[in-house]
Amino acid sequence: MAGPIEQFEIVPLVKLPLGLDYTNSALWMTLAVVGSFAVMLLGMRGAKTVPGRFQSVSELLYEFIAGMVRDHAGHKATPYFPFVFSVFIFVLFGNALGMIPWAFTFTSHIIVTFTLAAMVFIFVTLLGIYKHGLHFFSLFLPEGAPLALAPIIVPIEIISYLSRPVSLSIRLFANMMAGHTMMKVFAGFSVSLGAALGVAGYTVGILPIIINVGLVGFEFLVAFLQAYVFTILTCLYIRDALELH
Amino acid sequence: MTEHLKAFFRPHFAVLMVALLALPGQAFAEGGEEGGLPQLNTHTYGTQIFWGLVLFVVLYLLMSRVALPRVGEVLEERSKRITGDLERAQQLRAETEALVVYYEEGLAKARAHAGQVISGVNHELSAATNHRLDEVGKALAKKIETAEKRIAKAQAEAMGEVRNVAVDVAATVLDKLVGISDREQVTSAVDRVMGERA
Repeated sequence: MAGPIEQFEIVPLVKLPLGLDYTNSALWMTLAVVGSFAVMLLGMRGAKTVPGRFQSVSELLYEFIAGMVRDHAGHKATPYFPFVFSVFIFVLFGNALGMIPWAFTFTSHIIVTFTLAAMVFIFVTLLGIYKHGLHFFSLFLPEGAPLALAPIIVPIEIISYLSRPVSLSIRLFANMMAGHTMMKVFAGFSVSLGAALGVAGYTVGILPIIINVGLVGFEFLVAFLQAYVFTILTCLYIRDALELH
Repeated sequence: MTEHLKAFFRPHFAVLMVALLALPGQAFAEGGEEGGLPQLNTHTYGTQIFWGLVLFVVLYLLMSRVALPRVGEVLEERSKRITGDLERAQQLRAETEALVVYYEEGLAKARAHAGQVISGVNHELSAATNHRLDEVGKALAKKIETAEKRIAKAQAEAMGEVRNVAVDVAATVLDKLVGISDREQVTSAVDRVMGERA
């Protein structure tokens, strides 16, 4: 029986030079890209003024993120809507596709979530510097703070700023990894019970399965919620960069 | 909201911590080759970063160039159409209201006209009636007058006749009883009696 950690194994599918193998992780990323693009396009094929079911899905996704950008990043953030949308749909599909049995959850890898978080972080920082020049660094000294406290406040603000990508990436990765591990642990528990105690074990083994049913539902919630949290924080960072508090 | 959620997901973190505490020793001892937490195997970082960035850029291009503009177009068209329809409805409403005002004006005019006509006709009719009544009254008065004259005449004639009869009777009676045949005297006596009676 596979251990609870084996589902996170990276398996090269196509060997490529420089260690850039096309792996199961890359495959599911590709499926996320193709899948999300298909969802967005399928609904819009022969788009009508009164939307059908599929069209409603793409429109809901669009308006959900458009509303989020409007409310949390401000009107000036409209040009960055496609970026925010891409972040959301990539994470959402990464999380959601991972709920398919035997699928690989690429968002359960810290390096993937960190790459995404670092991308957001670099984008937001460059955006701030581009919009405000050196004035951007006033972000580290909140307005109205006494200058005498600057030696304390500035380092704290800088650390909190730098820890953004870390918390962003760890939150997502930890949730996905912990959730998937837990599902596997409970499922494995049933099997172990059966193997160790025979018929009695299988009878008692129904309990972990019942818990697992709840966990699966919970994981679907987490899959959506973590994509939502990741995106909304991206929006807030963009607002900070645009408005400097 | 996120604060609540964070607290809510603590069990996840607990499991994660157990996994991280139990496994990293192995993971690092074996250089992240095998058996450890796959997430800590640094040999796979290159490919994951590379494919993650490449596929994200592909996704971004597909979304920003193809998918999102299409959805945005449809949504914009819809909102345009809705505002257009609302404007049209507003316009139609204004037109309807103008028509209602026009209609009510027409109705009021027609009512006033009808009232005038009715009162005119009433006036004429009552005038004609009065005229006819007048005429009939006059004709009746004339007839009554002639009838009264005729009656008076007939009465006078009848009275004359009665006097003659009375004179004749009286003269004859006197003649027969006392042999007096003075018609002059009898006539004056009868006249006197009739004058007393009348």
